Amino acid sequence: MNGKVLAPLLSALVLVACGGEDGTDTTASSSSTGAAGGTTAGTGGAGGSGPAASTSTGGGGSEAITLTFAAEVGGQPFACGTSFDGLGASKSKAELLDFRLYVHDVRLLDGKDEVPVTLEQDGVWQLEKLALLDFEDKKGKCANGTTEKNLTVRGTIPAGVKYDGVRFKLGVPFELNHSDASTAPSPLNLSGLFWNWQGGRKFLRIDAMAEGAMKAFNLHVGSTGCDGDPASGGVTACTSPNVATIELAGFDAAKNTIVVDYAAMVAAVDFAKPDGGGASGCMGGKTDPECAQIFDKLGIDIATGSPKVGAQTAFKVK
Amino acid sequence: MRDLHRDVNGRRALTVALAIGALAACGGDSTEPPPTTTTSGGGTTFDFGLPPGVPKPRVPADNPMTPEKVELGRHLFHDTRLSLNETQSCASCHLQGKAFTDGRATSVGSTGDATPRGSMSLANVGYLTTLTWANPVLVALEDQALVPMFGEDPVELGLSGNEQTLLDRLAADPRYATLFAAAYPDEAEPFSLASVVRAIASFERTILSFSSPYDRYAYGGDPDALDASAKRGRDLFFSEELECFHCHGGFNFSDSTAHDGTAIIETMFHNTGLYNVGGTGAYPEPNTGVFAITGLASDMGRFRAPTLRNVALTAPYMHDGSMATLDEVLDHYAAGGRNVASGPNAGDGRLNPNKSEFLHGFALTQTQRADVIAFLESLTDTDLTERKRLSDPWTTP
Repeated sequence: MNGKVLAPLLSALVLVACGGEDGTDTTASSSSTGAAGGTTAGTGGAGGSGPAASTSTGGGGSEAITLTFAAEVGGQPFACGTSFDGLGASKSKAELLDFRLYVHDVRLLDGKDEVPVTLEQDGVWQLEKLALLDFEDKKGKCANGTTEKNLTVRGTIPAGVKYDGVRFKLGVPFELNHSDASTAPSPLNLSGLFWNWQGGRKFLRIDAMAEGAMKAFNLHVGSTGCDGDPASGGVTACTSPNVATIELAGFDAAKNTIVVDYAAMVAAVDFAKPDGGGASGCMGGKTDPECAQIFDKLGIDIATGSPKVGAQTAFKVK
Repeated sequence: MRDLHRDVNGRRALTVALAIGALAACGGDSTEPPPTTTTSGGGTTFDFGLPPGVPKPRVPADNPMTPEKVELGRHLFHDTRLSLNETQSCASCHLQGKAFTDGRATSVGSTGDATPRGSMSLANVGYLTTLTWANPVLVALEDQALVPMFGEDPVELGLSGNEQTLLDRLAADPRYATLFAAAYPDEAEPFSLASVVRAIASFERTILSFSSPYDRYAYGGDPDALDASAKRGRDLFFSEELECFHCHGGFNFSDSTAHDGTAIIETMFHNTGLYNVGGTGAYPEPNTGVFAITGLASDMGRFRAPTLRNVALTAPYMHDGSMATLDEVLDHYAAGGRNVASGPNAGDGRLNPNKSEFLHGFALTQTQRADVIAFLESLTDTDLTERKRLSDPWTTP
């Protein structure tokens, strides 16, 4: 992404977002007015002035909610330009080059009941039921990233909803994933997340440069086994969607943060060994040994590309 | 039998209209006027400058052809500012003099990354049903352009995450201000990624090759355009003994071809028995063909048949450049595959379980071999390699 795409909307955000020094960090004012029952009111972070901006101030029987995410590496807060120890089976030291992921279909859970969060359409980070979480700021080795960050998912839920859990999908829904990369709206227009060889997007991008390594250990997850239709020009289906379903209990948006930890994803990887095959790291390959190790932690069955709900260890509530 | 196949595979796409007249447009005119757009009956018709009877390439509804877009695309195609470090353009790996290939076994990106495959000829690329060597997902030139621009494994032009840098660079050049405004007169912001890839795709659709000696002979009504050897080679090429035409047939000498009149579009990939690593059917990583996209075992080693137009200019051959000469290529097909005797890729490709049914081998006398090569050389189109409208506008104004 680039300043030009984001600039007009971000300047609106800066005005609303209480003037944190890093005006591009949209967590600045979010989730600051939590109420009991895990609902929030007020405008927390919902300053986007997109054409379809929702009535996030709670009128009409709905109320605003902000889900806050945090990126960590082995329990330490992630930042570009910082090295992290103890990664993988080899306990390696590495600096990360990127940390972005798409989530969609966010739902609050209460026993068997579930309530979808209607996302604010901010024209930048959120589109339909999709949101991009962006933890990098282009500093250090994150050179192909963007200065802007986004650590929240913002939307509305019916007023008074009770919940104690959350579920969302890691990735881009099929109907959005294969849209024209050169004309798609934000946040589907970021070339660093293009996945053109499969006509889609990288769902999760975290690249790492381990100390002493010659090549980066890339972690790119996206749909594979896609098929194209030369008549329509579009992608018709993908045999391995590789969309994980993340379900977390004990969640209250007013009090909790959803933590995504890179160290947990690569816990089984031996960074000291030569790459076991396929892409350097994991670029979604079904037969790539590093993908097998990482998909297991994300809760994706690598053979089918289907989610194994409850199997993931990369996300937790804090 | 032979005549039937010759007709079906060598001529059908061109038939009726071709019979009407000679190919006035052929003949290496590198000073031809720029293409024009005529409007008739509410529709816009771009003049591709095709010889009579040659069907037009397919054009997406959202990217109609205009001379202005083509000219912008020509500038972009030849502009090294399209790589982040400003060392490479599209043309760096697609040289006009080599029928838009680069002469290397495998290509090298702007940052020195080795790509695993050879640069493919862009001659008649607008007719292809799928693009690159083996990707059923890439079906539009507009989408394909994003792969070398933004791809990271390998890095080619190295623009990932830097599209705004590119657009800023272009917008700072007064020459582009004029070109973009002319190409996109209705756009409030003509400098966009979509504008870039649409212009490049439009230019690519004008990389047309229909002026070879073979074209003059087969479609232009000039019986002397081929010598006796090339004519014999043609008969061999379209024979059931050699089977070449099954995959390299039709007016574009590739079965992955469609045009604006094609009703049912085919996507074709073939395993030609180049490898059989360890006898398992495997091709060496990362060149596993369509398998790399679909993950289906039956797609292992399947690649798209490239056009054979200008094949004498596009050495070395095969997806990995593993054959240096057309003689070697004929050896491979004569043997019905390649037996790699030793090394990490050892295995008998002739026994690859996915091998195309048309690779059953054949025997050629020395004369016949020379004839087939003479025919393949008759597909060389010097109008393509010299046409000014396709050349680098930054050095040849």
